[in-house]
Amino acid sequence: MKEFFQRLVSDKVGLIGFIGILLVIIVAVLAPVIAPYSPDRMFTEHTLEGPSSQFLFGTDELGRDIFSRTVYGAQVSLQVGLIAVGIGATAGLIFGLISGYFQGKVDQVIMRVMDVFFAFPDILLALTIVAVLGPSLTNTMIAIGIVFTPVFTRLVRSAVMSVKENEYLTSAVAIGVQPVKIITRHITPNIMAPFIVQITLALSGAILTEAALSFLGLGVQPPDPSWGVMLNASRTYMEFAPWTILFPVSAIVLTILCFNLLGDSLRDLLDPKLKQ
Amino acid sequence: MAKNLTAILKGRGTLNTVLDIKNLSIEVNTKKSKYNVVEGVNLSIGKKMKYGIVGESGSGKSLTSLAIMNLLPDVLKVSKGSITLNTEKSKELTKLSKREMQKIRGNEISMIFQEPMTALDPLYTIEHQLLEVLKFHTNYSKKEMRELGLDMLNKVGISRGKEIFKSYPHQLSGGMRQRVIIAMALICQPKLLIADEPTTALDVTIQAQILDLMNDLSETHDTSILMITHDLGVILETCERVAVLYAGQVMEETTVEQLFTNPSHPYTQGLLKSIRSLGDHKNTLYSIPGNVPTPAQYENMGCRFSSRCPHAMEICKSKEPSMYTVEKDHTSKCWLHEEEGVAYG
Amino acid sequence: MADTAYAIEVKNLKKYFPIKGGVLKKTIGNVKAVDDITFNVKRNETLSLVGESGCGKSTTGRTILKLYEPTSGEIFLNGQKISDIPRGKFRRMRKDIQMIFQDPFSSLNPRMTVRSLLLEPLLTHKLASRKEANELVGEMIEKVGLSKEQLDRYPHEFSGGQRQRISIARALIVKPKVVILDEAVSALDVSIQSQILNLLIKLQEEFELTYVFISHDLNVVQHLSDRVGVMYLGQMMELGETKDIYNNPLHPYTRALLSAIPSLDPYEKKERIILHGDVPDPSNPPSGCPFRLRCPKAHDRCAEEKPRFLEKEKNHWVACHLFDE
Repeated sequence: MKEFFQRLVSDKVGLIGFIGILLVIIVAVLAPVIAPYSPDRMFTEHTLEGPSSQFLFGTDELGRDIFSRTVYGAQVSLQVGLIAVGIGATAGLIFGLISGYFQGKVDQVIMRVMDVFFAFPDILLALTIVAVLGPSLTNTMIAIGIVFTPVFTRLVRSAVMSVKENEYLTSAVAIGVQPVKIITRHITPNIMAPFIVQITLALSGAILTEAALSFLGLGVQPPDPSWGVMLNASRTYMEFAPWTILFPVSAIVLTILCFNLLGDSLRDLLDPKLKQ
Repeated sequence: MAKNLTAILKGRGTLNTVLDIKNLSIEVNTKKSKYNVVEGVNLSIGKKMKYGIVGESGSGKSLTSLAIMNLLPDVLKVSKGSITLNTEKSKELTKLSKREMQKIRGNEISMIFQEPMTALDPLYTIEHQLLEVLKFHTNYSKKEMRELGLDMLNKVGISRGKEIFKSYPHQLSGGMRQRVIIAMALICQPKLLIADEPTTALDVTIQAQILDLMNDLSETHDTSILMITHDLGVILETCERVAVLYAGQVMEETTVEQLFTNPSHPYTQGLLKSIRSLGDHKNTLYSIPGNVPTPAQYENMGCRFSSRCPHAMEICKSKEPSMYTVEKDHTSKCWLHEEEGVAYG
Repeated sequence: MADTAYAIEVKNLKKYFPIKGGVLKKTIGNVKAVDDITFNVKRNETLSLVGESGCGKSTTGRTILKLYEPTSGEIFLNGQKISDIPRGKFRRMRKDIQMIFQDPFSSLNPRMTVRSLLLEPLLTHKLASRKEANELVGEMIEKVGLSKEQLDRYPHEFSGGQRQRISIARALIVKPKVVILDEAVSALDVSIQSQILNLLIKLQEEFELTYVFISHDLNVVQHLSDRVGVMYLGQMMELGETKDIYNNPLHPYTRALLSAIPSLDPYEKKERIILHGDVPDPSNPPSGCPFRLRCPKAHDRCAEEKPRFLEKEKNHWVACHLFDE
């Protein structure tokens, strides 16, 4: 672990991503301390004001402080990202392990179902699921989780199949280790590297999907301060009040950039072939 | 003594050698570490000579061959010494540009590798791959090239050349592929053929075929062979002279006959003893104790074999021995030879 | 119940791998990896299976271990028929028969310490409490020539020879009766190879083990084995005591194989039999004797009739028409 961090530090790009994500997390956790106002408080005499010392990022059409809303928005984004990816990754891990380890008919069935999901564009699939479940924060997370399941399943399945080629698996079977323990002790730890990389990249995807769904009015519902909701609201005013769109967009772009930077650098760091 | 040897090598080098390696060192150079993986290798290969380099994994034998071909991976480079190729005129290979080296590879020096499965491109027919070498190095017409190609396949023992021409690598067996690779290597009549473990991946009956073939071809084609292997049996089958590499250094260099009848270096003696004791059924095998040092340990270890040597003395652990001439055409890098008499023991 | 003087008995064992093809993935043929072989291994003896790649020696070993299900035939382990025990049930019997693999780099899980690698078999078969197991692990690691201090390291911190010692410890810690060694020293350097061979012989005496040694290296096989079986294209060509096989080989294939070993004596001029051609495709073997296409002594009968496996001399079996008149 220590060695891992040393290497992460020596990789400048990955470090930038890592620090960026750390900042987003700190901001989200300390939102009540950092934000000067409640995200819902309306300063009715200050609607659509530009950035000033009182309102750092300006105000929106209802006179709410955009800085405070952006800060609280980090909470929503991270929450959606973590829970949605948690759902997708867990489901994908289970399906992928079963599929890759047992192969045969089970594998056929699981993979064909995943193929069906894969046939839809991510956002369309998420839209459909939300439309069926009804728009809300929880349903957004479930929808994104389902959308990400096939990616994780495929990744885990192929990783399991390549780990199975190793003689240490045959050795475990020959020793008489129980199938469950073979999966948990011998296979799972050895597929973690690509899995963790995929989680990092999926987090950025989830945050983006949430923003898109909320922008379309099917995700987080106003007045909750999601970055996507803020974008949606600012559509009408962005020509003469560009700050209403500039700050939430920057927040989305920077957060996603950080996750992608970290993901790419993890991919290299965790690849044992590139270790030397 | 050491001076004497250099003089001998120098004399030999200018007359009728094909390849001369002098004091070759190869260095690993990464951000973290910097050390020599091959150090002070001297060898010269005469015309039509079959020269063997024998060593265990990590001895630097393959790196030496890659250095000759100028194919070392990026983290490695030749840090000292020279590699001279004497064909029509002498060329210093370490100083050539990439382009100049490309003209030499496959034309004046060819190389065959261990793995006959991956050395051929799966997407092209044998004909395409065999004639590509000719296309690159000669100006023959298509018809001439085909004739030459078929002739070459015939020489490596493939009689159904026309059929093989149309096949793809995966359709051939391991032995057949290695024959095709040898044909590719020899089609431009190189002066030197480097064979890096050419039979290690093959079965013993196929190995016998291939070694036989290589012996024949070096006779008929005026080609010198540099055979790189871990198998002393292969050396005895094919070579005339041999250098024993251990931990990046030449430990002993002599004729094959002398190596097998009068090995001088304790490492060579140990190797031969342990292989020969295989004949005694179920008795305890003679074995060299311990493990090969890693390159990071080379520094300050005196003689690199000292940690495993049954004859190790105080001096062996602190100071590296030089190459001593123990008899005509026979050098050995061991402190035991410093006092005359011990050397022949 | 079979005769229990034998640790292993194999009767008419066949292992075919189906070749699937076409759109519907129908079986269009079989690779006859092991085609009707019969042999047995006495207690505490070393039987070697030799042959070139594709001869079925590894498949035989893995089928005995029930890593593959046999296509037909019977396998007995210590007198008990194991060929028809379902694999799930056989799991608990695996402590009696262990395996050591060729590649010391891929046969140890890189994410487990040596300690957990050695604890795993003991705890899996519930052979000891955790405390006792830890003591046993300490004893075993010293038996294979490593030290207790090295127990908490990971496999990549060891050299090839040391890793093979760890594999040996892992296989022997459950006190098996039979060990299948699949090219167990082939990947090692000469100087390390002899260390490991000595260790294997020492441990065989100490633990009263029965070895099935699978190898293509005829020098090593000669040193280690009591008896040798020579395989070709899934069939047993010759089987006998080591000295008989090496000093008096009967089958033309065995003779060619032995003559192909590079000599280590510069003055020995041995007559070499160079075999022509390659091993035929095991999915489409020749009729009659599998070796006839490369055999210098092949005659008409070899194409028509498969030679019987006969005991030509005492304990010396051969499948060749030259010896069946």
